[in-house]
Amino acid sequence: MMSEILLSFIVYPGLLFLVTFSLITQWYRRKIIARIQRRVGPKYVGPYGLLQPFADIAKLFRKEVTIHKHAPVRGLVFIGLIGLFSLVAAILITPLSLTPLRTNYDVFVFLYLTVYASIAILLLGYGTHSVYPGIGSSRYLNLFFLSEPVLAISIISLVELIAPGTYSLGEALSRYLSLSSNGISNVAKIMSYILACLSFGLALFSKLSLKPLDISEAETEIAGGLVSELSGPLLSLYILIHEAELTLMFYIFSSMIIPLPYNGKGLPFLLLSIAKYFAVVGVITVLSYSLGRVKIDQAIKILLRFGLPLSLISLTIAIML
Amino acid sequence: MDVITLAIVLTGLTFLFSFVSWLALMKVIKVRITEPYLSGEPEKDYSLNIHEPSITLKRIFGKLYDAIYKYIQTGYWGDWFLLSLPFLVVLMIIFIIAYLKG
Repeated sequence: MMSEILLSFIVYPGLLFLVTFSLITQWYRRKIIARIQRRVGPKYVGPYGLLQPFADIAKLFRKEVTIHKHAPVRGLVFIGLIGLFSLVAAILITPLSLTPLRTNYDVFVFLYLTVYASIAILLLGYGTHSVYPGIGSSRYLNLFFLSEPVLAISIISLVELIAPGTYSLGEALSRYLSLSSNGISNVAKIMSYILACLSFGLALFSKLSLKPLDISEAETEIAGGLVSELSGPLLSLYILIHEAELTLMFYIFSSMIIPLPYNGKGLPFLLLSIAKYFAVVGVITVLSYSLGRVKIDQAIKILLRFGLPLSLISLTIAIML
Repeated sequence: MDVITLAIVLTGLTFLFSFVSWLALMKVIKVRITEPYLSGEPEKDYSLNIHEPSITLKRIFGKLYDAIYKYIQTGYWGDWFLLSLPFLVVLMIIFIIAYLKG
């Protein structure tokens, strides 16, 4: 059992798979963004520039860390690694794992592990002892206080709707929304499902620092915010955490918002899941880069006025059904 | 595997692999230290002794306090109450779920 868990942790769907898939997703997003901005995007390394994100990470790991003399470099590297490996641990709960570690109430373990990644990003900014990353981290912290509860409540209510009574994310991701009941109960279920998906999507923009809720990384105002003082391996760790978090959350989101019409096993299910994933990533990327960045107080108001009430209503309905 | 064991196993794996990777990475990482740019203020304000846990903790909580009190963009403690409200709601939901499940 332990050897299987270790193999899952290191190879599939753990570190190697998650990092590779995250960087492929980054290439895909960069191509879409380039197309929106009338650029070519990644081109030179590998076919269609597919290996460009890998080359970027390798280059950053070879460079030296340039940092303030009072910044705790060793601590920052450790924090970055915890952020990355917590996401690797979280993916073992999902059905992607060959030996999924699913149990009742595992959704709480998943949420707890993904919070490590957000805290790691936050501390990477604070630890650099500089003003701009400090402001960026402060803004990230403000949004973190709101986006995490909204995300947690949305995911819990989706899990409760798809796999009632289990609170198991692994179970919910391998099922689809069953509409076995009739009448008003069915309508309420669909309403709750739509509200949870909306609030999940909204929280996703904030948690993953996507436009319009990426005020913590405002380039022109605070010189890149969180990441402005990171360099070399520290920057590559930040990129890996961010991309892995993005991939994991997009996977959960795409699996839950577009339920496939049957319980999944085999090649067709895998291909459909991949297609669904890239479709959702594409739509969110286009939506994100079509919108302008909002101010921090506007971002807080959006989450407080829309995200939180929607998720709460959805969860209330889901528990009552 | 119950949920507590799952949490402990996954957290343990996270910290174990982080520590092993950290040991390996620290041998190959090159660091270039830069001096702080000071415009008159004493440099001792910037010193951070990571070997003294009490000082480190004090600095960390000081930074956290600064983050909460000074850098908050909306300005008032009332806003911070509103921001902490969602966490209280989550705790309440977990309590209700636990209560309903007996």
